[in-house]
Amino acid sequence: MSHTNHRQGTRENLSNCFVTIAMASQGINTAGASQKLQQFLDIAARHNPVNAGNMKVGNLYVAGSMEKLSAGMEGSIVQAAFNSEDDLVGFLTDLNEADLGVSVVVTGLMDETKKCSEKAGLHRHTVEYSLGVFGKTERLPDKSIMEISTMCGHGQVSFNLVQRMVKDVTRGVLTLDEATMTLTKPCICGIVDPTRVRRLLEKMVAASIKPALHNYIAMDPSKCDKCYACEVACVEAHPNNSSQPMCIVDASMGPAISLHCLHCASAPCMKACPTGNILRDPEKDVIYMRGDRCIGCKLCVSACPFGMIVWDEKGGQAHKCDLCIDRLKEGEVPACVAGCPTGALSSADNAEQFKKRRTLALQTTLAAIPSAQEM
Amino acid sequence: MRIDETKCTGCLKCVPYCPMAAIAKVPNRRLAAIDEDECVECGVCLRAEVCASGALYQQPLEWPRVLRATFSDPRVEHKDTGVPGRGTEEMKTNDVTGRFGPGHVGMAVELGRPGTGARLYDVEKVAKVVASMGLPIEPKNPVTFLMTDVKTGKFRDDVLNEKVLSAIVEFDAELHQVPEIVARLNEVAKEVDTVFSVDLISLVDPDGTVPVEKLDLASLGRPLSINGKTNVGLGRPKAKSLEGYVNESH
Repeated sequence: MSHTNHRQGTRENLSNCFVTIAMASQGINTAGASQKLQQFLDIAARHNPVNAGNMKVGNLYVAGSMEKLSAGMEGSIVQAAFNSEDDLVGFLTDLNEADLGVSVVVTGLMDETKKCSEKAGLHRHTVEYSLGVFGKTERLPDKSIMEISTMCGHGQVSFNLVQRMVKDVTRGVLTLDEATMTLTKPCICGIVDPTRVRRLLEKMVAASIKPALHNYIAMDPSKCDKCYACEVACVEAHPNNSSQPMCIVDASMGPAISLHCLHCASAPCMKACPTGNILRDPEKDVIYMRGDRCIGCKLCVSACPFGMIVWDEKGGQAHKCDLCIDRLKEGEVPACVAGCPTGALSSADNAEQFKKRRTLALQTTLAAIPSAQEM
Repeated sequence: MRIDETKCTGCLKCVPYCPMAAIAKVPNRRLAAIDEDECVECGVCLRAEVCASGALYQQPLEWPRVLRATFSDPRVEHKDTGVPGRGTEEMKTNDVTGRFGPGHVGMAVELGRPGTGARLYDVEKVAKVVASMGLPIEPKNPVTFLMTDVKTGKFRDDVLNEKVLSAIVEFDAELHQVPEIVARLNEVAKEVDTVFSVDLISLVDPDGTVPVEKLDLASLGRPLSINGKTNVGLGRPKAKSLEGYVNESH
């Protein structure tokens, strides 16, 4: 059966995640086993179980309470899950004392279960390891999906359901708690630890917000005071650029806009440069100039569709915004953003920008539908 | 499992629950349908209680299709072994049965796990490899009841195309045979159209050490897992065959 043997995960996320199971052996000690299995659940209830189950009834969250798991214990197998070493040790200590006589198996990180068994005064009798997954592993989904799905060894928590829950939480259709329950309930045995599901799910939701926008400076024209502090900060931050800023405040079309390089995904300036002076930083996805290879041909100036390459007549070199990449790598915002006194400029990571825009779109849409405001 | 076309509203809420991804929207219709060839009769969709119109229903299952339910729905007891779930006690009661003794290991090949499902013809392929090595296949395992010949691992012909969520080929081996078995499993892994997970069971020596931990399986690409199961020896009466071998101090 080994329904807990192939749980996948890292040392970190499997730590303090334990499943216990009790069963009688057919034809050996099945007589009177129902009461013993009941006692197993009663003792478990005293040690903060995060889930429990009776194969004949279902898990704790479907049944509704530990008491309701009692119906139909005949010929069943019972389970209880814990999320701390202290609770497991307490439970095993009590079981040892109660001496029920049914077999008990503990699943978890092998070194942690060994330690806990010893603390409870128990000697390990038999152990079981997994040798991993063989065969057509290309048919399997991403590891993070399997870390949740394999918590139910019977495969009742489908890969697609995990994916669906990530999507539902990301879009606000379900709360994290609701999605956690949706993934906990299908496992009849009650061995899925909802606290671990929640942690893993939360991580997946955070990772699922895909950056649709690359790093750039966002601008709110209504807050711009036309003070040029951003330009000054830029010059200060780039002492080798002959006092030319690479962000340009322009109000010629009405509202003041601070123009910045857009760090194009397919950057024409980079393609145009014949000497390899223009590069993309793989970590921050920023287009920057290394400087020493510029021959002053100005092909990049012609190639840029936004006029954001600055030609330095005095130095005979082209310059462009590098988003203050050294500052970014230190975890700071670009100099222009830091220098803006009114908050008109902002620099957020991709996911944040993406979220902000979505929220704005939602607000605008809701405001336009009178009936939505009453909901 | 089936969907009553006259009741289904096409809301598709049942779709993600299916472990086999066998439920899908019918193209150009407001309707979901189950691919019966892929459905393993696990009952997950029905138990999820997401069908507001009551369109999902369990049709009567006849031989050999009924095997899908017994191997896929944990609530269904295997009539051959009397054990619900996948139908084997393996190491969970080893303190009482003494099934796996000193110098021996228990091994199990769980076809279809994780989350992929397996046709019984693929289960047979693994059973045949195990049988060809002369390894004793566990008699109290429901898969064994499908065999016409335990010595060759041959299955009944009428069950071969049935699909199940998982089926376990379980056998005993001597400790020194493990690397060779793992190498053979690595070979048969290329011939099956699914995945399988492998278990390795070992008695703990009286001094607390675990014999299988000394084997070099990492060089075969199969290191021991960090997660695992431990029978803590609380079952009574103790297995007679292990008397004096295991630590009985409590």
